[in-house]
Amino acid sequence: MPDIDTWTPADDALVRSALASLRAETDTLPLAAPRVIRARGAGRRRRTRLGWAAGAAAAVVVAATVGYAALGRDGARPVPPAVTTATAPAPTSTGPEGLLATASPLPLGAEWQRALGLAAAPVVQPQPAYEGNLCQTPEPGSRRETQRVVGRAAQPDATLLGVQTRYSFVSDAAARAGMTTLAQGIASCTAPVSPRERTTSSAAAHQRIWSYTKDGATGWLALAQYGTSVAWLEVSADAPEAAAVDQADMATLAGIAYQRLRLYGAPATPKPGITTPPPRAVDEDMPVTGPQPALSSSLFVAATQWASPVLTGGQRAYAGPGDPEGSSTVVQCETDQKMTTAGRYGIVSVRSGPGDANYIGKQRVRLFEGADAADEVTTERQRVDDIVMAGCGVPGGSTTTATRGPTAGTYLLTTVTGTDASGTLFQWVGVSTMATPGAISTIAFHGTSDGQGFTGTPAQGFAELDRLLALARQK
Amino acid sequence: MGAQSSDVEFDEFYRGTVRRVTHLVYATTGDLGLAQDCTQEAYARAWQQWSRVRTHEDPLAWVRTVARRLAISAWRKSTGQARAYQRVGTTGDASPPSENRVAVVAALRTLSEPVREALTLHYIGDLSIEQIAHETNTPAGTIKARLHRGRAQLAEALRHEESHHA
Repeated sequence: MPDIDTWTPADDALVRSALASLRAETDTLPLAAPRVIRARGAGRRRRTRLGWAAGAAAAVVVAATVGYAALGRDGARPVPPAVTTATAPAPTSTGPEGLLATASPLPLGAEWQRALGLAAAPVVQPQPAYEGNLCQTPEPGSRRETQRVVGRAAQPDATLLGVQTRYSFVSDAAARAGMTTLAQGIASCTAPVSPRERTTSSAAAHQRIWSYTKDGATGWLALAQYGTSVAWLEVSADAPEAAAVDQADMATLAGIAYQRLRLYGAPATPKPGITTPPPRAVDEDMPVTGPQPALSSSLFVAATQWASPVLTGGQRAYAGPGDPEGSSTVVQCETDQKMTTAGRYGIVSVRSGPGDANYIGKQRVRLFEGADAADEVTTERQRVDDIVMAGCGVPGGSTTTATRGPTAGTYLLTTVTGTDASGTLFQWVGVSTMATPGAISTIAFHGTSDGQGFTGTPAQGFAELDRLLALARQK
Repeated sequence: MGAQSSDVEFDEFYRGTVRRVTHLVYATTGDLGLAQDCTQEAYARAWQQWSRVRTHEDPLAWVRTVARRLAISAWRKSTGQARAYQRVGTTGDASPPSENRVAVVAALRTLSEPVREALTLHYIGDLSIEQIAHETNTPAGTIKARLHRGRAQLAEALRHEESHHA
């Protein structure tokens, strides 16, 4: 290639000198103290433990409800037909659902603790005198209610962890405009800090996140909007707890704020504890990959209904072009050699923004026709169960293991990739029959330990899976 | 190893290497704030599993890889290459951008991501072609070609920037 043979030793010296010059910038940066970094790492450890403990607790509750025999069934026995209503664990006073039953338009101290992985719940107090927010952004013309969030990391000398403010508007449109005003104020803020937006390119309309650095420590801001309200959430860089906070934590906190505004922020506040029927499944025209003639997209969960505060951070979800190779696999450990050739199949891939990096999950529908269709559906359920629970791996490479979820036909697969620094891959998988005779649906979405894809806890993942399967069963 | 000595070992490792990693990530993305964030996160993850990372033949390579991946991933997600580089000088905690830095970052912006990665690992990380090939899981011949091409392209872009500002 002629263009690569044109460099000279002078080029070499010029390039070396130019790149070295950037070092001057990094040398003048304030360096976070090692203890701050260790606290951040320790926070990650604690969150991992809390997440798994929550998942295990949910599984135990359901095991007690449906009986261990159902969860520990002999793999050789046929699985009963899919249940049409999920058996949900009873909410506890300290679980996410239990906390949400406590009326408040802004997150509770226990929810801050859960979202940020704090050792103790901070205290939320009214802020009597409002002094403006961190960036002194223009007031968006609304009523406001501000609370101080006081951490306990420095007990007995409690310190300010952050603040949260609810802005109330006269209409949804006014709230959306107010959110834009606040976001623009943050984006143009240069003093006392200069926040950087951390929301992905397909910016969430209802949740946005920023971070800033101050003396080597990181602080966070988030906005969430629902109905006529906007929540402002702030974690101060000065707080000892802030060192362990990351973007996923703030996304969780903003997601909680979004749910609270949905429940308690609107004028017509729904009463907590009243069970609402599952959302009605809608049809959407989406690209379906698979052998021609392709299955109708009306058999699939509408991509827009994948969106949720937890699964997509409140961002809209889209159906994107799937794998063009024609493989029918959607679950880790599935291989084309293990797939059935009976019936027809189609796959819809869903993403939360443009580009391959934003794919969040897939749904495969198999449709069996003829007299044996019901048997084929049962066999397909068992086949997925066998493949998933057997696990898989490559010697010296990745290893995938699976645990059953709280609802029949749901699984969490964990793939550890040897010495690779890319972290652990998690995949939530659910299988269910559908309203269409002879149809069976497999839904899968993923996340990684380094924050790609779904970033919630295992229990949240299973809850999202149940939500999607409930929609699939209506199809 | 006791908890105390583990702390000391990590702290020394962090203090001795963090600026190099930040420098490398900064040159790779052109975004100083992002480089700072991702570098801190990479070290936090190293501490999270320090008992394993410390036994690696080269713990710095582990941190460097994680930091680069985090930064590139966040950078692709957030704004795209052009906008990331346009952010130069907008981080509140950094000193004002010098004309030289703006020129260097503008020149780096003309390179493709793989070429820039190879250049920064070689010139800032002091890695050999074989080491870059191993760290990026890319054939050594490809790395050699990227370095060759990148040197020529960057030198040309730098000279262009110089003449433009002269």
